[in-house]
Amino acid sequence: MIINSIQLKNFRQFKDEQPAVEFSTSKNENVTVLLGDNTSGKTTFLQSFLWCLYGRANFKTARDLLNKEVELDLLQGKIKIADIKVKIELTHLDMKYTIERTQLYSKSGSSVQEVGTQKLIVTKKEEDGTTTHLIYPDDENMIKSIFPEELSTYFLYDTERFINITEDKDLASAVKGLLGLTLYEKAIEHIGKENSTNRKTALGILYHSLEHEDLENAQKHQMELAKIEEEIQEIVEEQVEVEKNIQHLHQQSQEMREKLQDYAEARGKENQRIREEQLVKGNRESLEQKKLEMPRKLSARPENFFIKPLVQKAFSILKSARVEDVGIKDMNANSINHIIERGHCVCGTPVEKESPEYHALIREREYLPPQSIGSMIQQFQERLESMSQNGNDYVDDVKGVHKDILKLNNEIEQSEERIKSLREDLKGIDSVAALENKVQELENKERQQRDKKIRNEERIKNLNSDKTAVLNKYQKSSANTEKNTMIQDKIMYLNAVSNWFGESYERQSGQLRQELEESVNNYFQEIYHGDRRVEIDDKYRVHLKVIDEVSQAQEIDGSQGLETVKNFAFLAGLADLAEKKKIKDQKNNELSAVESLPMILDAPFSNTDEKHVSNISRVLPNVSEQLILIVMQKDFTHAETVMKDRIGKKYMFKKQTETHTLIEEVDL
Amino acid sequence: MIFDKLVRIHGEHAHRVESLAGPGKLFNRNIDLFFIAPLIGYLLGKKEDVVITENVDRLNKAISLEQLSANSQLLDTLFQIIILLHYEKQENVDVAIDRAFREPARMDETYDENGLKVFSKTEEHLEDIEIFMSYVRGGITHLYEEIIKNGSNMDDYIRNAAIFVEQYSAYCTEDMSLSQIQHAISNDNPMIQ
Repeated sequence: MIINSIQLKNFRQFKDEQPAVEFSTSKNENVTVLLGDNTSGKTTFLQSFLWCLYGRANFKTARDLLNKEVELDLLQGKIKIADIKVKIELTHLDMKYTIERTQLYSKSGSSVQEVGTQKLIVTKKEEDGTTTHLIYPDDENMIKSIFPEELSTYFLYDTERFINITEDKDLASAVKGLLGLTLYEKAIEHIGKENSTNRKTALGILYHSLEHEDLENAQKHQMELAKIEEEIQEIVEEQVEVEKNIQHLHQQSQEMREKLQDYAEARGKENQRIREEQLVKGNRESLEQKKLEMPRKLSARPENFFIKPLVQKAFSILKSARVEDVGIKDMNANSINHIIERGHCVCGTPVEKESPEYHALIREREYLPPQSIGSMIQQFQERLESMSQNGNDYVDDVKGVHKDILKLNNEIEQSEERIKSLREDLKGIDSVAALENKVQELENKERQQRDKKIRNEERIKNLNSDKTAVLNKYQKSSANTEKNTMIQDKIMYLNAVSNWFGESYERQSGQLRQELEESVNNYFQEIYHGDRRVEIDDKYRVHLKVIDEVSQAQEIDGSQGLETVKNFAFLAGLADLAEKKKIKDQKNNELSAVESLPMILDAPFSNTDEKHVSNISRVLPNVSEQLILIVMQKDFTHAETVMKDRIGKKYMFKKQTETHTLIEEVDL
Repeated sequence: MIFDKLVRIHGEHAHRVESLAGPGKLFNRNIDLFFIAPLIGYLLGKKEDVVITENVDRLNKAISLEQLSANSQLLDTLFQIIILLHYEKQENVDVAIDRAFREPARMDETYDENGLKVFSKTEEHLEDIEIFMSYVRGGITHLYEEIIKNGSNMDDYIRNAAIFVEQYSAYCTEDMSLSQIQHAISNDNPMIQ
């Protein structure tokens, strides 16, 4: 498809009916450049395509599309009515189309209001240019089929307002349409699936035109078939709902899982808090035990320890004393007592009380056992020695318990600090558990829906075999006429064709994703100077992947520049694949539904570095049949050096006032 | 057996004993305190008389005869070392040995009203027991001041006791003279404050 021109009237800055902007349609010089400064209307220009094609524009004030000066004229009563009009002329599959959207405005009270709804006219001109057909509103899907709205984000690419739609939307039907698979779908729809008895399909019509002699029986079969068909239809419809539910539930639970992912850290903290509290509990118990242990340690023969400083002194005193043990060998105190009692010594000397002999004996007695002073001191010293030695462990025991107490106190204090800080962090995240439950609930529901889907598939399978049985009976019971034989042959033939289309469709749609991924990666490698790949999922969404773990660290930033490169690679890959398919179809002399799309890009270079600008500028004019660039002069300088041979037309936005811009063609 | 009668601690000191010893206290039994108090009292040169003020009820803390008897040898040794050191400082070595070892064995012989011979501790020995007890009271006061007075709960008492024991042990080296030790662990030493 080629866009020949666009013409704007009163669309925001573009006041009055502007001359049509003619785009380059040359095969080689296929680039049209529109240059403009900030606020000169670059984005408005891109949005005018969206408005014309789909009746919407991505402005903050969507309704505020009418030129401000014209609006003032309306308010001041200088004019009674005004209109916005955007007209696009394009060539699609060798037909010329004109798409024209209009909206009327008038003054209402103190403001300007829309009059009626938007008016859309689509016309088609025959190749010879003589006949014009009005095709809209007759064919509502015309625009969608040639310019899928789902892909407008790519082909009408607004970098500055880009939201990462590539990872959101289901692009499957749009991509399939663009790459020609819709043709198969339409063919199957027309013929009907195998054994279709639906009267809206070719097969259904044939079945119903079989002639029967036993009309009652035939009617019975027809009713049975209709009933089965109806039942299948109901289940199929239900399946659509079930599939939607699955998607919806899956998306919801995914979103919540992501949220939970955010809470993963919080969950970690919660677990840590629980662990810390258990630690505190355990430490408190140990602390109580240690506190009970302290009196036991303090009371464990404390004298052995406390006597230590005195022992040495006592020893040195005793060492200096002259304690003569002069007692008579083997004599003891009892012997002396006996001598005193009997009144005379062993030598016969009388011993009288208080006599010198008596006192001599008493003195002697003091040196004898058990009162021997020497042995008493000896025993005393031995006891001191032993006590002193036994007291060695006392201080270590007491200190040990105290150290344990200090350590436990310290650990408890630190844990409590941590618990306090964790509690602070966890404030307001009590909902983790609730969220977890919700996810469980959603996942359960999703499982139920998936089970239901499987049961329904089983039921459809059973109903289909019932249907085949009834259909066999119905066919067999048909009259043996020439007409019926012909119909039977046609039925057989159409069933085979339907199967053939179905199989081709399945095969091709499977291949398509693989081919697209390959094609997109080729361009991605060409544009991007780094180690990455893109992957395309079953919904045809593009995801960035790193090739090796070393690059992982750079992956995180996922800059807007990289997103831009990714999207251009997708664009280029898709356009290239479409082009290749088109050529292949033409070569095989097949009816081709493939048509490459023009690319209209706003500020494509604003987030990318020079290297990427060069790469993109080199690639895009080659993959796209038509490239329309809306850029600032300063961003384009570098790109121009690369693509200057490809530029066919150049325009400049000339800002007259804040509310009025003119578009003028300039020399190349 | 020197301590052959119930030992009683009266007045202020009884209250100090009560805060230091007994079930749930730092020392399990009164006698544990009785073992160490004279040693600490002597080391610090702290001898104290019985203090009975009007504010203090007539509490007394006793050590049972049974406990005294079971620990008689230990108590004799403690008595001997305190009296030995005390008299060596006050008088001389001979007196010290005499009062520590001989005096407890001496008996005064008197006769009771029935004319029966009665043996009793000598005046000197009874005096020495009182000296010993005054060191006991001095030691109790010191422990009280170091451990209980500056604290308000068991955690404080445990901490203070551990610090006291550690300080005490730091000065138990053989190289230190007794006077150095006495100075080191006395209340005047800023290191202990």
